[in-house]
Amino acid sequence: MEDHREGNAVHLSDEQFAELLMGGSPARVQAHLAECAECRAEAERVGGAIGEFSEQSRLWAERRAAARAPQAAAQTPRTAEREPGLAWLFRPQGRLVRPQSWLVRPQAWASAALAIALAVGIGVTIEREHSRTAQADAAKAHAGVAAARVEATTVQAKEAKAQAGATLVQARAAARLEAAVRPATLKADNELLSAIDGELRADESAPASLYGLAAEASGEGTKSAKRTSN
Amino acid sequence: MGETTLSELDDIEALDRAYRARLLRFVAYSTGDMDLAETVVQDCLLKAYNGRESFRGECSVYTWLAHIAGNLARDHQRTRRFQFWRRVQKTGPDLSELAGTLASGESSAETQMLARERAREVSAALETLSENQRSIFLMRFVDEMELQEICQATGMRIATVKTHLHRAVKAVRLRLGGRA
Repeated sequence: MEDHREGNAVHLSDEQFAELLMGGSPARVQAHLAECAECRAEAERVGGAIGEFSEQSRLWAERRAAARAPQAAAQTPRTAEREPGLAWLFRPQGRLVRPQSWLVRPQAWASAALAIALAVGIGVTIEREHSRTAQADAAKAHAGVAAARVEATTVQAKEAKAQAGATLVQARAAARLEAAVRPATLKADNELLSAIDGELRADESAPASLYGLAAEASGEGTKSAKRTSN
Repeated sequence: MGETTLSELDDIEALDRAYRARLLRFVAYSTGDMDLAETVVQDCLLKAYNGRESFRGECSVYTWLAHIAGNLARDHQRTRRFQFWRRVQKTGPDLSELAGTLASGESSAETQMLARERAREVSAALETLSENQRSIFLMRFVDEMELQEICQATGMRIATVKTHLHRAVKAVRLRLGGRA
């Protein structure tokens, strides 16, 4: 432990100062204090400040503890009634209560958060597993549906092809039939029409006969026939 | 451990009455968090009461309690996940609350104001210290524990405790305008 030098003056070192404040005062330090007003003033100032701090903090803590006591006493019966499991805390010789509810305790929050996280995590895992299974099922079903659709499409295509084939055959048959039937039909139709025309001409009444001119016409006709025959 | 200590530990109300304020001061100034200090002190007293059978009487009850409180405070600070939330809520001890309680008929208003100012300077200096330095400084100068008791409460060797104390005293001295 060495003395602290400042210019020509020699003062107490940090260690000596700390020892002095801690209550250890070797003869050498005491002798220095008796001679050095500067170190003495500093020791009084620092020691006094620490003493003031100690006293004020003691008063502060006592006041805090005293302010809490009536509150704890007032809470005791209600808390004990509300939570019979904690009744042991409020025996006559032990009236200690917890000053803070669980809501403001960090461990409680941490536990609650952990529980929620676990619950959410498990839920998410289950949900993911479930959705994965559901997705797999859906994919399978989708694949089945797709296969069925493909099959149906194939069947439809086959049917369509068959229909197309049948239509083509029918068309060809019709075409062939038409090609085979058309000349005969036309001929028959023409003959029928000619026959009808002939009959109509034969039965047709002349306007003269309708007005009584048929005899003359027939006489003339007879004459003319006679003449023709003569 | 005498019979007085045994009965003290058996009576949780007496334990609370005797040590709550002292523990509250130690934890509040160690952590700088009033809410945390209330929780730690409460847990500490319950833990001590429940585990009183394990107290072997090798140190004072307060040393044992300070050891429990220190461990609990470290655990709480270590397990606090939402630091941003705690930072918003953090409320340290406020010495200005004591403006009306510093009753000293002999000292003038100016003297009292200066005393409060010096105490605030010490409090501000403590904020710049490491956790260990601050706790050991408080045990020695505020709780007036012996070095051996501090070793028992912290589990540190005496040389380590002295080193922390020297650094803490130096920081406070500098804050109060001492020589660098």
